[in-house]
Amino acid sequence: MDATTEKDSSLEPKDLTGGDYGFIVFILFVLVAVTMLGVLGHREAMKTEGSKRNGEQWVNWLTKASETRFAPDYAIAACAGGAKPAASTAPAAAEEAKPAEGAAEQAATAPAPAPGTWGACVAHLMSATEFKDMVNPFTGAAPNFIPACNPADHSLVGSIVIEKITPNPPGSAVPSITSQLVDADSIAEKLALKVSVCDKGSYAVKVAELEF
Amino acid sequence: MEERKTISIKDLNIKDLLDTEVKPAEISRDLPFRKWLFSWMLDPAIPGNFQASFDKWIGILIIANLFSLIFENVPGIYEPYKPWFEFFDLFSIAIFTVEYLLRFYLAAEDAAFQGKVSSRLAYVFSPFAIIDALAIVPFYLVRVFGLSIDLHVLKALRILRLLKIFRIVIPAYHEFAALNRGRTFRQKIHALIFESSYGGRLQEMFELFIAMWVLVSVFAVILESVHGISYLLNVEFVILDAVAVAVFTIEYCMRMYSCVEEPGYEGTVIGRWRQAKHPSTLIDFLAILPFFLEVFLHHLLDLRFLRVFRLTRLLKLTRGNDATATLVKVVSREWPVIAAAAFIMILLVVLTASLGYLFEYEAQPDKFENIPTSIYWAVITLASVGYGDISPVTVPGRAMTIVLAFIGIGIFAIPAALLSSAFSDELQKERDELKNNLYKILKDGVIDEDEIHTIRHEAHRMHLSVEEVNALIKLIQHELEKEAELQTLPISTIAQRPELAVEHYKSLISDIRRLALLTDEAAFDAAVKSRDSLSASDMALWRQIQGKS
Repeated sequence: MDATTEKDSSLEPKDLTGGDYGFIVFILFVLVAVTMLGVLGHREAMKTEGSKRNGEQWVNWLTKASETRFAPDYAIAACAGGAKPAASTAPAAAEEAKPAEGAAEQAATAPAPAPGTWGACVAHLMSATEFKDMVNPFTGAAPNFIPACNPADHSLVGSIVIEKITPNPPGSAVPSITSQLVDADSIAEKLALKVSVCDKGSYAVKVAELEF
Repeated sequence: MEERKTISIKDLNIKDLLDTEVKPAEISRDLPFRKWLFSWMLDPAIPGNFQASFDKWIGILIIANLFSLIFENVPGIYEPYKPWFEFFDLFSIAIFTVEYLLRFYLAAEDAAFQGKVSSRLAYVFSPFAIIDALAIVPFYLVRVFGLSIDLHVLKALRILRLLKIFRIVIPAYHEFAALNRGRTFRQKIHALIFESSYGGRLQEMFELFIAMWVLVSVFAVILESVHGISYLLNVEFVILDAVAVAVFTIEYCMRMYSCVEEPGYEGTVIGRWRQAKHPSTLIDFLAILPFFLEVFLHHLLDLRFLRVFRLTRLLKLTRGNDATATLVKVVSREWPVIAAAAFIMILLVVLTASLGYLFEYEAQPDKFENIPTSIYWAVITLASVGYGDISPVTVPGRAMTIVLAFIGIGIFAIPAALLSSAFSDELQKERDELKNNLYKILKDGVIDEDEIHTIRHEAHRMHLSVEEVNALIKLIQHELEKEAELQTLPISTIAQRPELAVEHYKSLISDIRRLALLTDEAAFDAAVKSRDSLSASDMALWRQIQGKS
């Protein structure tokens, strides 16, 4: 296209007009606004990254533990494999074991998870290992363990979802199903797990699948 | 006033006219080696040497270095491919070092440094050479001299390599400034954004820059859907999207601001409103809208689906492509016929779906559950897709499917055939218009520079080969010669010679067709109706000559 303005350029003013200054100011404003929005978006993305790091920390620990937890002299008895779950212990014993955030009141009244269950293992880890200092980057509190992320519920951002993977019989249309790993689930046997975290929009971000 | 350079038709060489490729430079081998090398590699004043290619490949290497720097900060990508990154770094340093040494050696031949006490010293302290040195010196300080530099500082110094791009941009800027001397700020913005004779290489670079961002951002959207990649590069994708939106927003604002300089878009408000409504500007707007909507409304609505609409950025690339404009023109022209075919299709789908439901419901209530389900079956069958998930089992149902399959082939082919025929018509029309333009251009026997530009542009737009343009020109030359011959003869003489009478008749028909092409059809019809100046048979003949009856 060569259809440009054929105006005589010598007749046009060479200096910047008020409109030109207005445009430059507007462009600068747009640039600053988009940069600020970009910085905000980056901050939120970094929080999601922090949640992913939390999930990865869990994945690393669970993967490492899976190699040794079936040994007879395994140090963390609450997470040791092989032992069948026993009966539930007194509520008082659970008080120290439960995660601090949002669950303190519930922990006081609910029965403590029985040894040899997932609940007992988590309770021990959250009270006596490096996981007790874990922080949800979105809330600043300890991360919650939830059954599933829900985009409609923004309070779930940064939460951790640990699900168990149960294989279906060979030949099934769907090779496996995932379901919530509840406190009462036995960890005596090897478990296939899927760890996810909820991102800034409360959508699930899969961190890894592993064997525990 | 400057006299325009013209070429006589007899001297016209279409191959030279259409050939925009620069011929290889002819540089004498007898030159001293340094002069000879400078002429081939670095002299911007010699067309056809390697200077432009050299700059282009250095530019590509600089951009590759930018991506390398970005990906080196992603452990998930850097760690597994660390040796490759290191190899690329070494390769880049080697190329940049060769470039620096070449420029240093050839500085004595460069007009910019001639006349100085030491041309090489003058080169070393020139801004471009300092940038070039900064791009390679940190590497040698660390690897060769064993200097201990903090890794972060080293990475920051590597970013300086990107400054080398100014070696390409600054000359283009100077050319742009020269082309736009004495023009207003808005006119300069217009020259940068819109294609014009004032744009120069800087405008081409700007278009390339936008196209590169379009491709990068669309590629990022596609890769974001791959979990393994988006997991590793989530933050990088967020940054990339923000930068892309910033670039596209500024481009949009510049386009809206300067569009009033474009013919047909004059007027502060009306011109801009007209520009805003233009399909290509709407596409520009859609390219940035999802970002802002998601930022401002994500608390109210789940707008994650809007991310897919970032792929509309790909449509920005259609700005420089005439194929889309032809498609829009063809569809809008043939819309009534396409709508009629679509209506028949809908009618057939609804009727067959109802019959399918009637015949099959009792036999397969789970599959032909209701008419909407049957509509799905009818469309899949009529379109010859035939997934087979729903199929008739009753005899009448199967008999109807046979008929349906036969009809489907024809019915669904109608819109495709219509579009294909309309495309062909449109191309023929454009070719006629080109012929008409050529006719006007060649009529005076000479061709000026603007006319050469028009021929080159039109031939390029319509993808015409040298042979095709030559054939058209020969045809027109023949017609012009005949016309000239006929004009000298009285009609009674022409009438006595049948071969001349035929040529005269052809010339008249051609004139009428050209008249029809140049005249606004609606205005012509209105003029005929208002004055009642043509009889029905004359009008029918007018249409017949145009091939419309």
